[in-house]
Amino acid sequence: MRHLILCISLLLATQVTAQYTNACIVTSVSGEATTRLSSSQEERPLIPGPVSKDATIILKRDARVNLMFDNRTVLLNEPGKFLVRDYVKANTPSGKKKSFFGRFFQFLSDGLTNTSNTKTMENYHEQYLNKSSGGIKGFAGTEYGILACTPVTGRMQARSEVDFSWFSAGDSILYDFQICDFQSDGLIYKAMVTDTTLGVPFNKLALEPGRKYYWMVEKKRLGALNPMFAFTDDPAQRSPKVEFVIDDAVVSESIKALEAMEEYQETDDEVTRLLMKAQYLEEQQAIYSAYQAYQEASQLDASNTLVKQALAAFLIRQGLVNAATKVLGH
Amino acid sequence: MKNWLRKLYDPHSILVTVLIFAFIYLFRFLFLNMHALDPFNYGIKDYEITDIVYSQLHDPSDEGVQQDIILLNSGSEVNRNRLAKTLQQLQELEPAVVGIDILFDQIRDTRQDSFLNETLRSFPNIVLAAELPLYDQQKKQFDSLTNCHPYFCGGQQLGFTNFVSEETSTIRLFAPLQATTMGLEKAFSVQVAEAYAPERVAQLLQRGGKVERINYTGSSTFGNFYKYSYDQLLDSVLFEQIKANARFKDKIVLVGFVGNHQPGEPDLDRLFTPLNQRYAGKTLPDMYGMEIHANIINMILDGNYIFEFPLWLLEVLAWLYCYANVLLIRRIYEKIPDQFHGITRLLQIAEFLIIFFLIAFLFYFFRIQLDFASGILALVLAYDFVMIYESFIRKRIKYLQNL
Repeated sequence: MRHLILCISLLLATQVTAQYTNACIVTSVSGEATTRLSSSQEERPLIPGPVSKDATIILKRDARVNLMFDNRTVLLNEPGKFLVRDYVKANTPSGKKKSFFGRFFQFLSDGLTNTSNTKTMENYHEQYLNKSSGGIKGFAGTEYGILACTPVTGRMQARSEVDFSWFSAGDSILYDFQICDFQSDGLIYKAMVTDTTLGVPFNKLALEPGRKYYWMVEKKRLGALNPMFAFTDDPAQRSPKVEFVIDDAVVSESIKALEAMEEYQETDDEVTRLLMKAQYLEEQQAIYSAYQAYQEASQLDASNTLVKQALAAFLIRQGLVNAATKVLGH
Repeated sequence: MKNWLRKLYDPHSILVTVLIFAFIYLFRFLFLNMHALDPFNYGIKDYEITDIVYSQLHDPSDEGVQQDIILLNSGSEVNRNRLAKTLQQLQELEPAVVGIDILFDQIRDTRQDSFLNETLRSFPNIVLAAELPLYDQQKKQFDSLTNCHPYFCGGQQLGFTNFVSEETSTIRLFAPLQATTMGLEKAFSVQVAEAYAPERVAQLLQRGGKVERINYTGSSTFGNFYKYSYDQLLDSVLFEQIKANARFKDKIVLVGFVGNHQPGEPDLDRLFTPLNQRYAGKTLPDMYGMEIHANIINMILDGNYIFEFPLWLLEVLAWLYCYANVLLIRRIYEKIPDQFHGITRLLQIAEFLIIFFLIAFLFYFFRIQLDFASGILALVLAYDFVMIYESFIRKRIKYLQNL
């Protein structure tokens, strides 16, 4: 009996005098996060491991960092700069961390005081309104680090050069352009470019009719040790994967069918004919050819607001809101 | 008979105890299998008092960061080419054991598969994941492991990733070994632990249990495991940094999907564990499969198992406890009938709190699992059964009046 009492007393004593580790440890990092020791020092990518309390952690959008200090885990998931020392101080509750006994009695008292049921919700409904809601955010989904400018998607001809373009993702950035096979992810074409446009000779690539491919552009740091090797699948670092299928016949057959239409034949105005062509090609899912027709119409009559609006509406239908805004000059 | 022993002997209390346990057994067989009570049953069947210890009293961050096991997140869509490249990078970091918690159930692309297979085979110590098929009730054993194509798995160390649980229930148990038509197969976590520290697995197998309870430490969400991602290993700058701090050297690296429990992430390989903040009722899965494997490996390496009392001992304890309560309640009933109700009810509440504290205390500090549900139910029923016995049964049976 005496031994049992001694054992329990020892346990109680360890609970009271429990000392927690004073180190700061980053246990996981997702997304783009960097760190630097002082304002003069260069930023370094943050990786899991110990981190100095004097360091600053810099989080980009969508980045998440799990930080453990004084045996407490906190999650950093808002973009911004965090001085570890200040963050630790701000997130350390003033009192000591509760021991087993403290938690046990807290649990019992919560059981008596926190009795949430339907009747309580009816009586104090205001307190519960912000706990859950239905619906989603407008334009929800992953935000990509690079946005496409031209709609190279849908059914494509493998006969000519295709122009790819995307919006700039900042200065001193390399763009890793890739065309890959959709089923196997096998690389078909790759180019490291510094510009935001690229013409790709589709007629010289081994693209199989009827097969699905996708293209995307990834950001690379200029001056990275081995930029050709670097891989990432973080949406914040790349454009969406835009799919297309090789179908040489679709454009020629669509144009033939369009030219056979009386309505088309009766139209004299070239701009109207191009808009009809664009609309028809879009209906046949020949999106890139439709885009070319819209572009042609726009170049033919640069002052025609109707053409501009039609092109912008087309781009919005393809999910290229920024490109549409650019067309409208906003 | 000695005087104190005579005081403890009371035939009426024995009868009431028997009645209580007859009711408890009947309750277990009938009520818990009635579909009308399913909402209640599902809740109670998947609940253990020690869940409260894990979810409310245990703080996983107290456990600190596990240094021997590192999780490498592959993302939810595994590209074999990227996996092979990641493994090549990983090889440079010199881990002791690599456990791949990804099922290579079929051949997809010859070039990529061949690249991956070559990389897998270049590792000196690698464990691949497989699954146990449906149990053959007639043969009383499992067929050979499935979902690992012989092209990848032939001649490799394999482990099954199955846990002992129903589809949506809490994962508490795992089977270290399982007999199949191909002989004894090891669980994935056991196989990984054996490749790292065979003496620890020998200790586990010496325990001889067909199933073992999982002693949970924590998860990557609580910061108990280092979690890296493919991207970090494939980025040349980050890779150099990781290589410089030698965190992977001589460690166990588990490769598979470990998300961040974020909206929009695929609901893949997410399971319920006792660490779930909501220990009963509707909730979301709280841990990824690979993290559960990591917890099991951690338990094996630390030799920190959960001790359970044998069922017969628990039953004996429950009967003795019930008898003691009935005896006490009857004594109060006989000696102070005026305050009987109040005193008995207060006694029940106090006893319940003490037992609850004791169960939590034993589990928290010593990992001793005391499944005392029968004892607690007997405590709840004792008062009512004494009343039923005294006012209804005893008054109608002459033999009992003279006993």
